[in-house]
Amino acid sequence: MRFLAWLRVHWIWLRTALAVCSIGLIVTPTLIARIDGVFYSPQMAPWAVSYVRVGEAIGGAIAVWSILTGLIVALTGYAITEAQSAVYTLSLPIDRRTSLLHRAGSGLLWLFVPALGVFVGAHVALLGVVLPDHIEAYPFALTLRAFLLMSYTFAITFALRYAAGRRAPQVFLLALFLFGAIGFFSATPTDAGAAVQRALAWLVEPAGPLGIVTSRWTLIDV
Amino acid sequence: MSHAIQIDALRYDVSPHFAIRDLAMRVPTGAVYGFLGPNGSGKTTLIRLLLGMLPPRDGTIRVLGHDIPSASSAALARIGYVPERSALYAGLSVEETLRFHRSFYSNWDDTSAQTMLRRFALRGEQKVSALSKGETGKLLMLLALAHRPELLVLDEPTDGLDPVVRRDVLAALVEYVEGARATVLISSHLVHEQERVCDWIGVMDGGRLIAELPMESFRAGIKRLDVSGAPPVHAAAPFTILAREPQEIGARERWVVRDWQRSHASWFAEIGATVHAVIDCDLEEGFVELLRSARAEVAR
Repeated sequence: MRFLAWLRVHWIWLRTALAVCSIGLIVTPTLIARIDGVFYSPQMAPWAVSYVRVGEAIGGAIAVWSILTGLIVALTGYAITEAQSAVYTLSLPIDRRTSLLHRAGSGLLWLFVPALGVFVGAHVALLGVVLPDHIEAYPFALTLRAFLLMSYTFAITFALRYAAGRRAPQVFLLALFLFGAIGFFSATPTDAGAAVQRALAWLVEPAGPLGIVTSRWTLIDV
Repeated sequence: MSHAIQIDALRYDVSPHFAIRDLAMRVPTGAVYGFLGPNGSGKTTLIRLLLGMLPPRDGTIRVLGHDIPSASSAALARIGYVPERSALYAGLSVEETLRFHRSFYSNWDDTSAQTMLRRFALRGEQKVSALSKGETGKLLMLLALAHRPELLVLDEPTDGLDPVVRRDVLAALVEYVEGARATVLISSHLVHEQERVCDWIGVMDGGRLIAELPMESFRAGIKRLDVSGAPPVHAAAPFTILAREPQEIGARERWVVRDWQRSHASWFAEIGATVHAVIDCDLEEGFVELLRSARAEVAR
């Protein structure tokens, strides 16, 4: 009952953001395919690899949209419940852990709307396209992966925002400083630079924490 | 006497310069407890502590028999709370706010909520963010009353409201309290408003509760005396002297005393002084003198 109430108010708060992200995710694959032209004019590049290249461009764009969606949905919902020092949220007769779980869970559930946008967008982009032999489209896999990336971004953002509390601006500045420092050290030919490079390589390898973002994203593959 | 709110040895650091220290408070069950204090005295902080929104550094808080903050959600289910400033969720309409709020209370009385909605002339489709200050005050009172709470905690509930809205809000409150025999803790710096509705008074200043007594004792016990001939140093008085200062004209002095009884007049004769008049203080005068006396004590 309470979770449904959270779900309902999250829909009211998030519907505009969800609509914008969903439209972006529907339109982007078709837009990329149209600009490239290969899907609809196979004579431009009759090789199978051209299809895969377009599929990767679409996959990359979906990954960026998914990160943005997770970020926007997490921050929007969190900002409303924390307004005025969260006085209203804290005055409700529900323990904090359950309240946080309900809030995070209801925001997370609504991510299925933009994920549906990925599925629809991929199918729209592939409408009337005849793929060469040995080449396949994977709209469902791309949708699932986008949903996972949105959820991943949402969960990390929500957790960081909660942990930062009132010090969110300072934490944000610290994160910016850390990114700058990592960039600087990884570019310097020192032992520290090499260590930072190794750490970055571990972060972005397929089994690493950021592997879901940095590994290959594509709508079309062999 | 049972107590709806019982606080002992409470400590909380608000900032490096302001803290609540060793505060004890008792709100009798069924009382309308006026919580007075100037702005910045710690009233809102204390209210947030007793609702479990802030963790105390030390001490115990029991509200309706529940330990706070560990059992605050159980206590909150039996409390109606009107915050100092509206913190309701933006983007929701009045109807959506009611529906959301209702889902947290098993005692929610839909009939009463709809009656108050009509009485306060609030429209369900109005956005909370577009409500006037008066309408917001009414909605907050509605949300606090509609789940039939046993304890109402009202933090400046009528602050900034025009007289008509204030009357409506207070009328709804009084009606509910009479019917439900609920306990009320009402924080305000509007002293005259407290005088009309409260039967207990607590005065807070600088993070300390400097007085806590029944309204009757407060009214009857605080007097302004017109005195002459009192030596600067004298024997201990059987009452508390809150203020002693020369009058603008003549050699007489103005004394403000607490715990005054008629028989105490003989004490003045013993020290060679004369009491010319004993004047009742109203709540506001008493409140101001209490604050002055407490601050002078701290300064000493």
